[in-house]
Amino acid sequence: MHLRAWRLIFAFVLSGATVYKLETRAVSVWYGSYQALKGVSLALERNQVLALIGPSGCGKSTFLRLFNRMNDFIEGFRLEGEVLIDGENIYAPQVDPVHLRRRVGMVFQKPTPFPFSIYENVAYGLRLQNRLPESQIRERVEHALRQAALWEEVRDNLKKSALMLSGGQQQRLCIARALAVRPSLLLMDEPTSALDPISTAKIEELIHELRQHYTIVIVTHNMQQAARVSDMTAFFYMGQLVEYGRTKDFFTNPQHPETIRYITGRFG
Amino acid sequence: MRYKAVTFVPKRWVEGLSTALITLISWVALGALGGVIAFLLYKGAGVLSWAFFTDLPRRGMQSGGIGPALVGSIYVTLVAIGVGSLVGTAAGAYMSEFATRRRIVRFLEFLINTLAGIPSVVYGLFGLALFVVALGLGASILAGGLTLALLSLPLLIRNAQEAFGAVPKALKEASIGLGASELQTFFRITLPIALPRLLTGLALATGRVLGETAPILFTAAVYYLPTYPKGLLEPTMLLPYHLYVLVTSGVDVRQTYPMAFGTALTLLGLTLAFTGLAAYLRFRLKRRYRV
Repeated sequence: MHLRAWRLIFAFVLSGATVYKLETRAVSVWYGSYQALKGVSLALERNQVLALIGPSGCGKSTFLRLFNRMNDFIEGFRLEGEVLIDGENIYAPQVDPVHLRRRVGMVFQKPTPFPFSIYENVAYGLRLQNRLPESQIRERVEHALRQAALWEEVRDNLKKSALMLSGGQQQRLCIARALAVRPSLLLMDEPTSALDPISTAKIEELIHELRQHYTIVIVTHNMQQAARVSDMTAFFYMGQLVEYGRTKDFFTNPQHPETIRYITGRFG
Repeated sequence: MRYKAVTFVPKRWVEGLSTALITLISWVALGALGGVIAFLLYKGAGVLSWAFFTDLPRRGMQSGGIGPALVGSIYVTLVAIGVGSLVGTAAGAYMSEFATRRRIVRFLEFLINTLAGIPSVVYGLFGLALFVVALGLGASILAGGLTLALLSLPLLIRNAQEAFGAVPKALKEASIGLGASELQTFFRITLPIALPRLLTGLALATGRVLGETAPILFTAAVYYLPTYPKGLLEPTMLLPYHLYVLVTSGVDVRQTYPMAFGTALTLLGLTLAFTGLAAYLRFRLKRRYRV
């Protein structure tokens, strides 16, 4: 903890400017001989929402999963370049990916509640760490459920199976589960693609709320969604970062012909 | 809109006849199974009594009971399944969850399939050479149990591998994403969810081990003992071998015939009991985890 704080200050002084929450420097990724990302450089400030868009197979999910090292498990995964969170290279040899993942929350495409009770789902990440007294766990479970705007709906049913919840509720439960371990960065991989419009609207509202405390990276297939929820937008195509900028400029005044073709719906 | 003509539409009577035929064949197969059970009940039920299960064989095995063989079989099976389930589950977990190279897993699968095809009498000979002679365990419950554990391993490993593999990958990823190590994910998510399938495989293996005769012939079984087994390093009477003895090499085979059917019925009952127990546990756990 101390070391990380010092490293932050050190990086701050060195750069003489802001330390970005997220930064990638010339990141290339291979799966075996297939190159999934080609020299992607990008930086994001604290408490911003970054939307990653692009057609299927463009590398946006690979890019997202760099930040909690979920790609490590894929056979043949190889990385060049640097991925930094708070100025720290998270692929440095001394970084333990398990510790990293406790600082970075992730929400997946389909809701993935564990077949336990609602309470135990949210407490799962807490129980993995230091032994907290049950009273403290209860407090943090409630806080996380409130943050995920689910508390009012489940407060009387905490002992019930999480599988009884609707799809939208399950996804908010997964968000609560990720928030309970108090990450500073939240990764979302198409979090609403399996949900109905009303549940989608709730999740988007939630992203608006969460942005006050978290930095969020969200992969989405839905360009309206990207426009609604994000501050910054990055467009990926065939493993390359084609265009990156403020969301409001991005959709009103795109620069690259590929971007224009994509957001006007001519391919993808 | 016009539908394109479909090239082949089975005639209704062909449908009906095929369905009837399939149903008939299924019932014949089930009938054969039921027939076996009914036949054993008809021939063997007469000798069944509490004393039959607990008494020692008497008067050249023409009367008395099968107590020592029953207890011996239970001991040997406990050793076999105890060892086999631990090793089999660990190996299956390695192959499904922890091995990092798919080629190694392929190779292990090939080896295991080969092992599964080896005749059980060969396992017996191997057990004799390794456990009885080389490790000096002698013909004993331990040696027989270990031999049977080896025999059941291919089945148990493949079953464990499939059980762990069937746990949704999304759940394992979610756990990893929350900062669980691979080992934590295995013990908190994968293992509990795979448990119903693991138990089913265990029950099938138990049934198989209970009935195996060849592997225990040289490693554990004795023709006749006037006592219950006293320890793991003692040889013992065993149900399958006892059955063989009663049918082929008793003092008077005609006199021991009903005893043989009683023994067979006991063996069948034990197998059914284990299968039933596993089915029940599976049902309970499945409801709890709903996967």
